[in-house]
Amino acid sequence: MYLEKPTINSILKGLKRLSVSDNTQFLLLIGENCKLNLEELVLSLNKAKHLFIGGVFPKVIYKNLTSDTGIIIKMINLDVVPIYFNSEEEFLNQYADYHEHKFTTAFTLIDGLSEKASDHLTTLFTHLGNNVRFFGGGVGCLETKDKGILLTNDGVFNTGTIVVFLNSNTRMDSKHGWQKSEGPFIVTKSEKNLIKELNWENAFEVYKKCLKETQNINLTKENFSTHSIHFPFGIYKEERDYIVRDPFDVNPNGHITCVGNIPENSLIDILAIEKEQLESISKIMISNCLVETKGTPIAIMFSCISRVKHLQNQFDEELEALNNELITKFPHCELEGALSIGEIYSSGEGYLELLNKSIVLGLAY
Amino acid sequence: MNTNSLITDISFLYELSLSVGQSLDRKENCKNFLQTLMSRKNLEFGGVWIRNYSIPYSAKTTGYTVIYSHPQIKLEQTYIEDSNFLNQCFEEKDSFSIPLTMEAREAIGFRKKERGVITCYKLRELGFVVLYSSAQDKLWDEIEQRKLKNVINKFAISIKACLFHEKSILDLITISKTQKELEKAKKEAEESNELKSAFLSNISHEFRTPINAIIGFSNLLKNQDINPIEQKGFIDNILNSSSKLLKMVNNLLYVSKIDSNQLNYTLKTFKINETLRDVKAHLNSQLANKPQVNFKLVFPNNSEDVQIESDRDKLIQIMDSLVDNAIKFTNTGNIELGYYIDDKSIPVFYIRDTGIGISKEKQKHIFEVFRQLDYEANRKFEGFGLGLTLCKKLIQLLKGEIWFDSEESVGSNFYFRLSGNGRVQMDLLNDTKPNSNDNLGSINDLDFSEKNILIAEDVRSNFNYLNAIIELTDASVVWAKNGKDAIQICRDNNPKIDLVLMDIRMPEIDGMEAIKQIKDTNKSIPVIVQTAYAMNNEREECLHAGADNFITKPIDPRKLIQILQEYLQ
Repeated sequence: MYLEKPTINSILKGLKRLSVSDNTQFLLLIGENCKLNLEELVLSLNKAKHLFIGGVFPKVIYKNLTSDTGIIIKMINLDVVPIYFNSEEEFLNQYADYHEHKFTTAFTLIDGLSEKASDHLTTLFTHLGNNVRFFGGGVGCLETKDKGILLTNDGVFNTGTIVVFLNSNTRMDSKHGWQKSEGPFIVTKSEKNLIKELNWENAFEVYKKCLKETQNINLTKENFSTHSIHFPFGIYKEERDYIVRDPFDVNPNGHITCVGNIPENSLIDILAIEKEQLESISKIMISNCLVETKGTPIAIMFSCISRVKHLQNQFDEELEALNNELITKFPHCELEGALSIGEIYSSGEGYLELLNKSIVLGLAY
Repeated sequence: MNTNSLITDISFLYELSLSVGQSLDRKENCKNFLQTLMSRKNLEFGGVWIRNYSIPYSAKTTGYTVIYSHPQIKLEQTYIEDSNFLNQCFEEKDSFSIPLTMEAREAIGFRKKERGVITCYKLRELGFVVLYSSAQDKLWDEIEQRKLKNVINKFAISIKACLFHEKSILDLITISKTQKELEKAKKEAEESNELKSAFLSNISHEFRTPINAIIGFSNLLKNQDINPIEQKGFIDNILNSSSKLLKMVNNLLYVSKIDSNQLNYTLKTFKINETLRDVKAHLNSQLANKPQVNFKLVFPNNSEDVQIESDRDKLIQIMDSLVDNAIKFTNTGNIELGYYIDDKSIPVFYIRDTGIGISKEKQKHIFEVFRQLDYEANRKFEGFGLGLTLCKKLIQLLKGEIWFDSEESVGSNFYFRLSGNGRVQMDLLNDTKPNSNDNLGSINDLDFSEKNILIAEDVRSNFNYLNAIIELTDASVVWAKNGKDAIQICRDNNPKIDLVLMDIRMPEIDGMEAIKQIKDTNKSIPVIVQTAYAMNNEREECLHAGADNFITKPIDPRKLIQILQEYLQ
């Protein structure tokens, strides 16, 4: 369900319409400019005995539309209580109760702008391994900081990670379409999500020089995010897509902040996207998520906010193509999700890492 | 191979090489290396197995232990035995890549349900690395395996450095710990030496004092001119000193015998109250020297016939020693010797005093051999610090236990019980029949608090002794140090004197003359002569002078009490 400019009352009414009874669990994806007092929302939902998790995103997706003032409400089937954590110790304390449970999927909402985001994913992978599939998105506000961005029945949190374990049959895929443009560069100095040096020189200077030489762009610290959005970094991985790292900020020292960690001494390329790549994404993704069924699956997608900024009009086309492709296969299925700060996806094979500039799509049957 | 893929490979090896040896902590080092490798190769597990004999201070010498694994949940066990499977796989090669069969899973302790492929590298002589992918087709060919060999070797050396570093730290900790223990042992040995020296110097003084008295009085006895009375006095001194000396030697022998398990005990059933009274009787002479100390025997109600099965002599020795200490360390106030019956029907004996107490710091050492709280040169108290050690050892011998509480300047309470064989016969506690045969049993019942007794005695210790006995009756005591004072006090009669205990040999005016003058003034005052001169004619002389009765030294407390009862009640 999608509500534009929601109030607490309209949300409670909406829940009634969805026939959400006491003890039904649901997911709230909230656009960052919704004028909602999250603490009051949590109190009201607790009063009404609803079980929920939620996150604030730059924008929410409903069918082929995006909005930063809307809210998506989705019913979900949770076997166990969600876990909120901000350290490995906190996770382990709570996960100890769930060791014996069998899950197919760990639905994860993570503070995408936190330097701890990659560590939290490592924590999840350390203790869950590839026995479950991971799916989710990075929450956060682009315009305001230190605001509540994650919510559970326990309250509103400014940072951290929420993970819920699902037992349903899920199919997921992830794509970004980015290809190498220039490189390689060696990250000779980095600290978590901050690149300090590339090829033993100041990171910003190297990046600036590269964009000048290859794209004839005069990059400055002031116009950095306007251009960097189109030229992300890619960490090379064998036999899989690049892990994209979005350079979203540059500090006075010329250090570039990315969404997600960049290991020191790793090899990165500067990426660009080709139009042809984009056109094929929707078809491939939907087809990878298909299961022969008479029912209607629940569809959730997270697409990177920087992808929207980069693609602009092309993003609308991409979203429409995905929505159309989904409706073609499942006419009653509504594509819902959010524009996120970092995406989470692991099919059960390979190493779990925070993705950037990607689309992740999950269908729960 | 094209240039791009070559650059990709080199850059990967570069990244991987630089992730090696970033930390001397083995876990951190493994984490940096394996997570880089897993991320780049998109692997789902990486772990490092090290031979147990290479792990510093490992209790195991065979097999391998996993020192790092990520994610941890892939493994069912972190310790594995040496296996033919691994030996065969690594035979003549340093790496292999195989499907994860049941045999392979068991050999490395992997979870049974896992499927996929493992690639393993030997870490020189230290152990091996396992990399896992769930994709069945991810077998690494020879070239792919060979690409990583150099960097894996480098990783092996870094692990060796970590283990060496860890061993050095553990060695240092062990050395420092051993050093501390050695220092402690040295300090204890030095302290024990000091204690022994203090003990020896102490013991030599303690031995020399009675020996000097024995030699001195023995020499005096050689003199033909001394009268029989003096002679007796000298002999008494010799006997006292000998008995003191014997007690010290016995104590030393006891400690030595107990230490060498040569001391036995004889069990018999005996009455507790009677025994405690005997203890008190032994200590009377000491108590006499402490006029400001009030000594009390405290028994449970109806306990007169309560018996215990234990070694009576040793029980007396224990109590002697504890009361001896209480007297020694109490200058004014009270000392109580008594017992109560605990909830397991075992008598718990106690000795309470209001003496100098024991400081917190010294409390933990008081049962140690050779300890006396004041063993320094300026010690104020006699004895050589074996008393409490002996008590504890004797109590342990009798399968009992001793404990205490104490506060400096407030006093000390010592308790002990003799369990097992020392159980009280409880039925006797209910027997309310009083035992009238025991005269001393009634001392505590006497109440002469309204009476004033004059003691005419020039020797302080003798006065103290008499005073201690009389105090048991709660009577007030007035001391006259010579005959003249005694006459004056009786003349003044303020306070009213109810009885006079008169010594005969006194300065200024002797006892005989004093009796006459007192009786001239006030015939009704009973005058009891107490003297060491027990010749028959002297008794007659005293009675003739007006004395009412006669008691000879050493004074038997029971006899004195009988006389007091006779004249005061």
